[in-house]
Amino acid sequence: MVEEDGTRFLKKTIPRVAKAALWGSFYVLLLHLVQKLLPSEMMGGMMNLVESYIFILLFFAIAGSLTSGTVIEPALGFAKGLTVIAYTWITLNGGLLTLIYPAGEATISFTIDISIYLAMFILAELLGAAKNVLKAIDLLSEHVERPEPL
Amino acid sequence: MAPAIRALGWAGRFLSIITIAYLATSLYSFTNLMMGGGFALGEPALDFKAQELVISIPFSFNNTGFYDLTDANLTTLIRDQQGNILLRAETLMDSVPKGTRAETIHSISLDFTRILSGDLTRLLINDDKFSFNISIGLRYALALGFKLNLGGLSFPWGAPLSNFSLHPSDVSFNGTHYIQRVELSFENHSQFLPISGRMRVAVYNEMRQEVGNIWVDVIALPGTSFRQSVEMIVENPSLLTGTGQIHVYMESPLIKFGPVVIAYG
Repeated sequence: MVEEDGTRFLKKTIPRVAKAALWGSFYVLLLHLVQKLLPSEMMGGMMNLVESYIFILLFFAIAGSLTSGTVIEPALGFAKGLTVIAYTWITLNGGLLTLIYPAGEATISFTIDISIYLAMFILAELLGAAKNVLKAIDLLSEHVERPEPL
Repeated sequence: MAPAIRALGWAGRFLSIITIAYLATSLYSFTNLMMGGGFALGEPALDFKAQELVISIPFSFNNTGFYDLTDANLTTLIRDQQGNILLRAETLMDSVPKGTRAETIHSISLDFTRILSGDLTRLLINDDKFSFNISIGLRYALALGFKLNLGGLSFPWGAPLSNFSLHPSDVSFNGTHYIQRVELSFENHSQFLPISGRMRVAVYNEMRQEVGNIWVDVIALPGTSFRQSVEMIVENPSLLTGTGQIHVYMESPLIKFGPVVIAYG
């Protein structure tokens, strides 16, 4: 009985750990590529934001993979959606980015307005959040029909 | 519920891909467009019309990118040191569809009547420093807004009636009138504005009573001084108190202004 429980635990855990490791490797590789392809001299302060964004995705990917199949997974997915929306909105200043270069007495400023793209991105994240809510309801209803540990 | 969850998942993924692809292609195309000479400013041309200086700058957009370019505008703003707006000129270009080229002329009209009137007449007697700001704005692919602003550029303004002064000497009587002999002088610090025409100078005492007025023919080219001794008829010598205001009016084919109020005494 104990051996059966152990096997079942391993059968559940190993794929989750493997999935978490794969996602972790993917994001670490992505971070490495970003650091290599986009030199920090060119990106300036934006580099820290990109790195922080990848770390947020990495955290939620690992946490989500480890809790895969439980009700915590969609809860984390929902939290990830809201975190990413808040983070991108705040760091991208609502989609209005301004870079100022002093050139002697004069100043040159570039303003880029990406608010429409940001709205599309937020909409996509909201769809993901809605999917996670439905997933959580689905898991809970399954649990009510066929009780097993969440 | 599973199909609904899957549908939402796919919709979210699809929208994410569309967003990333749209942003990446528009940024890539826009960068190529700007780096590849998609925007060009031509040689400015100067035209000095009656009471105004018109600067014409031709500019063009050659849209070789993937998307349409809309709401392009070129704006020029000139302010004095106190922040008063002396000039604001804006030229709009509604749309430049992909694969086409559009050009227009940005006209900056510097109206001297406007500058040399109202509370800005101090620019006639005080040198200043004007700040110049030029900005180019546009929308690319209907979603990417871009604005380039070049500000803080400054150029000196030389007052055409700098150090304007009247030096009175004693009042004399010629048998019919009291005559006040005054020496009128000023320096034209302007780089391009000649002072040439008839100048009326009215002298008031501190009670705002007119002491007398004179018409003087003046000519002072840019960068030169003017000095002349003139005689002013004084109706009532008791009004001469040694303090008050001088009101200066100028009339010439090129320029007309006044009164420029200068305190004296």
